[in-house]
Amino acid sequence: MHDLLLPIVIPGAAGLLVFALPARLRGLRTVIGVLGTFATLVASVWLIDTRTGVSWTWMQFGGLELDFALRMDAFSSWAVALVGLLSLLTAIYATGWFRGRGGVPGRYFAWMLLATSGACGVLLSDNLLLLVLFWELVTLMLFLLAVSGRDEGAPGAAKAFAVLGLGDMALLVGVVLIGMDRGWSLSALAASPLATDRALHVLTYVLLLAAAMAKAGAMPLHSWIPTMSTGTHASVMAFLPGAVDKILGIYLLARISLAWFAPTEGLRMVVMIIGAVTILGAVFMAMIQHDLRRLLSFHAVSQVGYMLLGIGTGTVIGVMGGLFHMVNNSIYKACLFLGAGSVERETGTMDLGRLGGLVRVMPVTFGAMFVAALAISGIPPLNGFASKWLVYEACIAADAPLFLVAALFGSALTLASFVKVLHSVFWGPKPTAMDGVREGAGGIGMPMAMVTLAALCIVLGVFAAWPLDDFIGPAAGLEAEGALTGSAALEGNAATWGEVGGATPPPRRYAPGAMQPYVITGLLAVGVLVLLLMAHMGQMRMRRVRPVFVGGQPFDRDVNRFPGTEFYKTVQDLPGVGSALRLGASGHLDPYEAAQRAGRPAVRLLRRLHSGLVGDYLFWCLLGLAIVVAVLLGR
Amino acid sequence: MLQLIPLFVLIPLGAAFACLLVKRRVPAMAPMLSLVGVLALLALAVTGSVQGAAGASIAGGWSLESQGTTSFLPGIALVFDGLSAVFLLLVAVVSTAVLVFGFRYMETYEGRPLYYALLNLLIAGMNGAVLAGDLFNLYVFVEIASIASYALVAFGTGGREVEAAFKYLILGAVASASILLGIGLIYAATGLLNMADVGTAVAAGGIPETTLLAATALFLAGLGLKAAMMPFHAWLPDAHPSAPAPISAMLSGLLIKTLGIYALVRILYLVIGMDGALGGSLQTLLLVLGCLSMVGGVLLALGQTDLKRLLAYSSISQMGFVLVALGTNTWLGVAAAIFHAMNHALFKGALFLSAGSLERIAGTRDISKMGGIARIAPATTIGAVGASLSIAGVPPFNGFWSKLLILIALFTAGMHVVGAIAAATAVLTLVTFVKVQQRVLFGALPERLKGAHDVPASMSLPVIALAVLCLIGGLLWPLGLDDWVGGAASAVRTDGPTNEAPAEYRRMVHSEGRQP
Repeated sequence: MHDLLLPIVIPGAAGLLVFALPARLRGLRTVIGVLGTFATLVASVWLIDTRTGVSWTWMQFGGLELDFALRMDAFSSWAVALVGLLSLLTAIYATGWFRGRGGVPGRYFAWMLLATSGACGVLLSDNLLLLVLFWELVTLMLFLLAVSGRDEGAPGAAKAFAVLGLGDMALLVGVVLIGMDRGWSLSALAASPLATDRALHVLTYVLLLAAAMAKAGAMPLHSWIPTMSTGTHASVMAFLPGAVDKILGIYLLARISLAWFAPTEGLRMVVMIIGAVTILGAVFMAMIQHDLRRLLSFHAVSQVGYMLLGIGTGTVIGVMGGLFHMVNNSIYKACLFLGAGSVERETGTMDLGRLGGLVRVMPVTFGAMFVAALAISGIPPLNGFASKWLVYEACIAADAPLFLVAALFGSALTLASFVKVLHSVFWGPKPTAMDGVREGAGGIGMPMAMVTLAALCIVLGVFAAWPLDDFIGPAAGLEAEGALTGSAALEGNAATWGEVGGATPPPRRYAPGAMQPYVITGLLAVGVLVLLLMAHMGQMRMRRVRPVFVGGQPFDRDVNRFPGTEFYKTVQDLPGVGSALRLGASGHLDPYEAAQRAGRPAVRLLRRLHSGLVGDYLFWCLLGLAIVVAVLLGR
Repeated sequence: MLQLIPLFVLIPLGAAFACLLVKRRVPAMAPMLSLVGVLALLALAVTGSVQGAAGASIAGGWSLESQGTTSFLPGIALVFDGLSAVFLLLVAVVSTAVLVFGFRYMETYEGRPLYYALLNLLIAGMNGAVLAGDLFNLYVFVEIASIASYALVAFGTGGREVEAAFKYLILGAVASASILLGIGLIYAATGLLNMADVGTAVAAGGIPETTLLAATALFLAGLGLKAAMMPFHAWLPDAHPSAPAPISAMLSGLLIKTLGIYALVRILYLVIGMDGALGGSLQTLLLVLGCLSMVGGVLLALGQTDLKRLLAYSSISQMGFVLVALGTNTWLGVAAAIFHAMNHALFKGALFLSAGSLERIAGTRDISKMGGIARIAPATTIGAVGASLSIAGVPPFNGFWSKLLILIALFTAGMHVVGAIAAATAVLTLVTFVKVQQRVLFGALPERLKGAHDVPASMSLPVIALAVLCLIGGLLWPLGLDDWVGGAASAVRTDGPTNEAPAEYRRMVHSEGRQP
C-alpha cells in the first residue's frame, strides 16, 4: 500500500470496524476510536516531509476518465497532521463527555473516524472528482454525528446538511465545469491556472468560492453553525464546524485563489469584502447572544473573515496570515467549544444569565478557556495575535485601510465579547444553582484535551517563527523563493508584501512593522513576576470577608447579580447596527430561512392548482398535447 | 438463453393464473407460487445480464400462402438486448423485494390471492413491454400492466383508493388511446408494426411528414402520461399513495419507467429517430417538460406532509432528471438517464416500502405527527436512511453517480441552463429528504409512539436489501457496473464506445423475425 493512503485508510478502516462491531462491545468501539485517531496522527506526522504523488486508474466511462490520484505538498502535509491532532484530541474529550450519560452513542466513533478519513482525503486528493467525494463524505458524517444521540440536534443537523448540501452542489457543478474544460487532474490545473477573464471561469470560481464559504462558514452561508451548535455534542462542534470544516473550507479557498485560478483584482476584492463583512457582522451577532454555544459559533464565523481577508489580498504576508489564522483558529476554537462543553456538562445550562462564579470550582476549564479567549481576541503573545498581526500588515500592504479598520475593530469587539463570557461564566457572584458544581466528573480525557489545546495556543504564539518558517511559509510558496522564510513576515520584511508567486514587490506607501514575540513574552513575564512579588510582599493576600448589604437587605446571590448579558444588550440600540441585528436574528438574512419564505407562495400555488378534479387534469393533458404539437410544428 | 426469453412473460402470466386457481382451496399457496415465479425471473434476468446475450425470439409465427409465394407473418417478437436486460433485471429485483415485503404487510387486506394474481399480471405486462419487438405488442403489454395497476390501486376498496383508481383509469385510458392512435397512424401509412422496420422506413422518409408529426405528438402525450411527465402527471400523486405500500413501490419504482421511460427511449430513439427531422423539436420538448417536472415535482414534494404523497411528487421530479438527460440526445445522456432510472427504481422502491413500514409503526402517514422513530425501529431506519441518502445524491450512494453523469451530460452538450436547474433541483431534493429524516426518524419521540415497535424482519430486510443495492451500485459503479449501463445506452445511441448495437437490433428483428 502506498504511504499516502495511510491517513485515509487508517481512520477509514477503523471507522468501518467500529461500524461493524456489535453494540454491546461499546468499550472496544471507544478504544478503536481513540487508537484509530492516534494512529492517523502518527501516520500524518511520519509523512510530514513526504512530497510525492501517486495515481491509479479508477474508472473510465464514455469519454470520462478518472484517476484515483493523491499528492502531498507543502500545504497538505501539515494540514493532514493538524486534522489528525484535532481528531485525536476531540476523540479523547468525547470519552469523558459521554461518561455517565449512557456512554458513547451507537456509531459515534465510526462517523468520527470516517469524517477524519474524508478530511484527510480532501487534503490529499489530486483529482477534482475525488476531492468532491471526500468533501461530501465529511458533510454526511457531520449530519450523522449531529443526529446521533441527541434528540434536540435534529433540526440543526437538517439545516446544516441543507446549507452544506447547497455548497457541495456548487462545488460539484464547479468541478464538472473545470473537468470538462481542463481534465480532472489538480496538478495539471495548478500548472496552468484558469484565467478569470471569461464569464464561465468567473462563474466557476464563484461556485467553488461558495462551496468553500459554506464549509468554512462565511457569511451569508454561515447560518447552519449557530443553529446546529445548541443541539449538538460539544465534541462534534469542536471537531467539525469549529475546526476541521474551517480547515477544509480555507484549504479550498486558498487552492482556488492561489493555484487553480488566477483571480482578477475584482474577484479578490469580493473575497476581502466578504471577509470584512463576516468579521463585523458575526461579531456583533456574537455580542448579543445569551447562549454560550451560539455565541462561540458566531465567533467561529467571525474568525473565518480574517482568513478570507488575508487570502483575498493575494500577498505573501496576507496568505500566510490567513493560513496561520486557520491553524490558530482551529486550535483555540476547538478549545473554547470543548470548554463550553465542560461547563454545560457540569452545570446543565448554557444560558449566560444563569451561569456565574465558576472560576474556583472549575479551574482547569477556566484556565484553558481564559487562554483561548485571549488568543481569539488577539492578545499578544498568543497565537491569535501572531496571525492577526500578519493580516493587519497585509491590509496595510494592500493599501486597504478600511479593511484594516474592520479587522482591528472586529478584534476589539471579540475581546469585549469574551470579557462578557468570562465574566458571565467564571467571575461574578455564583448563583445558588451552581453550588454543587465541581470539575472532573468526566475523567481525565476532557481536561487533557483542553489543556493541550491551550498550551498549543501559547506555544504557537510565543514561538510563532517555527510554524511560519517550517509549515505556513512553504505553503504560501516561500520555499521556491530561496532566502526568504516565513518568519520574515513576522519580523517586518518588505519582501513578503508582494503577491504570491510575484517577482519583486512594488514600492509601498507604508513600511512594514515588526512583531517580536520573545520581547513581548519577556516583558509580560517580567510584569507577571513583579505582580506576584508585590502580592507576596504586600497586603494583597489579606482579604476581609464581610457580609454585604444591598439597600438594607442581605445580599442575595440570585437576585443581586450583574450578568454580562444585560450590559451588552445596548449594542442593539446602536444606530444601523440594531436594525441589521434584528434582521439577522429574525432569519431574514439566513439563506435557508429566506429561501423557505420565498418558496412558500410557489408551493402554495402549485398545490392549489392540483384541485383533484379529473376534468382539470384532462385539460392539462390537452394543454400538454397542444404544447407538444406546437413545438413539433414550430421546428 | 434465447429460447428462454418468452419465459420472462410466461412465468408471471402462469403464476397469475395459478394464483387464481388456488384462490378457493389453498389461498396460502398464492404467495409461495409468486415467490417461486419472481425468483425464477431473477435467476433468468441475472443469467441474461451476465451472459450479455442479445437476440430475438418469436412466440407463435404463422405462415401465409397466397398466389404461390409463401410469406411469413411473425408471431410475437420478443427482443432481448442491452436495454431490455437492464430493465428486466430491475423488474425482477424490485419485484422480489416488494413481494417479500408484502407477505406480512398485506395480511391486513382481504382477498390476498387476487393481489398476488394482479401483481404477477403487472410483472408480466412490464416484462412484455420491455421485450416487445413491435409497436402493437408493446401496446398490448402496456395495457396489461396498466389494467393490473388500476385494480391494484383500488385494492384497499376505500373511498380514497377507488377515487384515485378512477382518476388513474380515466387518464390511463386517455394515454392508451393516444398511443394506439399513434400506432394506427403509423400502420396506416406504412403497413408496418415492427419497430425496427418502422424505424428504417421513417429514416428513409417513407412516412408523410404530417402523419409522422401527429403520431409523434400522440406517442409523446401517451407515454408522457405513463411516465408522469408534467403536465401529464396529475394522476400519479393520487394513485401512487393510495395503493398498498408494496404496490406503490411497484408503481413508482418500476411502472413509470418500464411503460414510460423505456418505451419513450425505444420509440423516440429507434422508431422516430432523435437525429431525424423531428429530432430538434423532440429535444426541446424533453428538456422543457423535463425541467418543468423536475422543479414542479420537487416543490410540491417540499410542501407535503403526507409521506407517501411526498414520495410520489418526488418521483415526478426524478423522472424529470431522466427526461432532461434523454433530451441531450447523446450516448452519455442516454446512459445517465438509464442509470438514473435504474437507481430511482431501487431507492424509490425502498422509500415506498419503508413508508409502508413507518405507517405501520406510527399509525399515520403525516410526517408532522412522527418523530424519533430511529429509537424504536432501528432496522426500518437503516433502510430508510440509506434510500434517502441515495435519492439525495450523497456519495457513495448510486444516486450521486447518476446525478453527476446527468450534470456532465448536460454541460457537455452545452445545456448550461438546464444543468443549473438540475443542480438546483438536486439541492432541493436533498433538502426534502433531509427534512423527512429529521421529522420522521430523528428528533424527539412523541408520547403517543412510546410503546410502538419495529416491523418484522420480513418487512425490514427487503428495504435494507434495496438500500444495500443502492450502496453497492454506488461503490461498484467505478469498478465495472459502467459497462452494463453503457451497454444499455449503446443499444440506442451510436456515438458511444461501441456503435453497432442499434444496427444489431434492427438486424435481429429483421432477419430472425421473418424465419418461419
